[in-house]
Amino acid sequence: MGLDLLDLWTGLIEDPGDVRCVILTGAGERIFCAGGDLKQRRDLTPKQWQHQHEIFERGRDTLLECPVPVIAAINGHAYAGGLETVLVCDFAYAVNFARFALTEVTLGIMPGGGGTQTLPRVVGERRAKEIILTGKPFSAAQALEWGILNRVCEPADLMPAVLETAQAICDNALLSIRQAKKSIHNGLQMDLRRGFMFEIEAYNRLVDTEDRREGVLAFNEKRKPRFKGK
Amino acid sequence: MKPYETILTEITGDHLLTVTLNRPEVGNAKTPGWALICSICGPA
Repeated sequence: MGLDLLDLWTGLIEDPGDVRCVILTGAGERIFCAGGDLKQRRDLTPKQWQHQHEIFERGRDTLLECPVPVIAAINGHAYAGGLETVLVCDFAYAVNFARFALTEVTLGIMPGGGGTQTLPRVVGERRAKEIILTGKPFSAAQALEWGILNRVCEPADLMPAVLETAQAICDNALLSIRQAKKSIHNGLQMDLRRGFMFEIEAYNRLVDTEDRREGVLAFNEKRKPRFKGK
Repeated sequence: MKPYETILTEITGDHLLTVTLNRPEVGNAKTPGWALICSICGPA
């Protein structure tokens, strides 16, 4: 799975084609992702373990750099590396019975898929310490309250809700979506003044585009714009 | 979109790609598939 995801995200970075939004979900009805496969990891040498982990790190980095928005549709529990993957997505909806945890400290390791960095950025330092240092699971309602989730749904409502939101993104101007995503993500790594500078550079790249002209024209002609990503 | 062994990819709307982690028998747990490429460590 690690290599498959790495290949997928890398391909979307190199050439997203006409893909404007990605939904990431899990097969089955109970679990989004249980994290690393501990049965497979049981007999790994330290060298093998680290090599394996390197693949997951590269997958995380490519997901983070993916220019296409990625929405996590969390169909069940998300533990350890599963939760770390959720935290790298742009935002997430989940079913109401889903439970979440970063359990690594109960296994003699620690979050290494970005969890000690992404989680505090979402929930704050003190909440993140409690979650990571106890390894205890928490509910979808708590994840919503703490900002990990944008919405909690009944199981039957999850995919329709995610599809509706994703389609709204897809209907907007492709270049605008990618520039705005880039500006939000990169700006948060900077102080506010530098963030403003980054934003205006991203903004100015949209001024001389066909989609900007089409958007303004369509507004004035009181019709739906036809964006081409140009 | 090319086929993968452990994830499903399908177009589910206009310009919309849905990616499904597809190892439900193990809770969609992550494995690297690294035996395919690892010439240093050998297969797990």
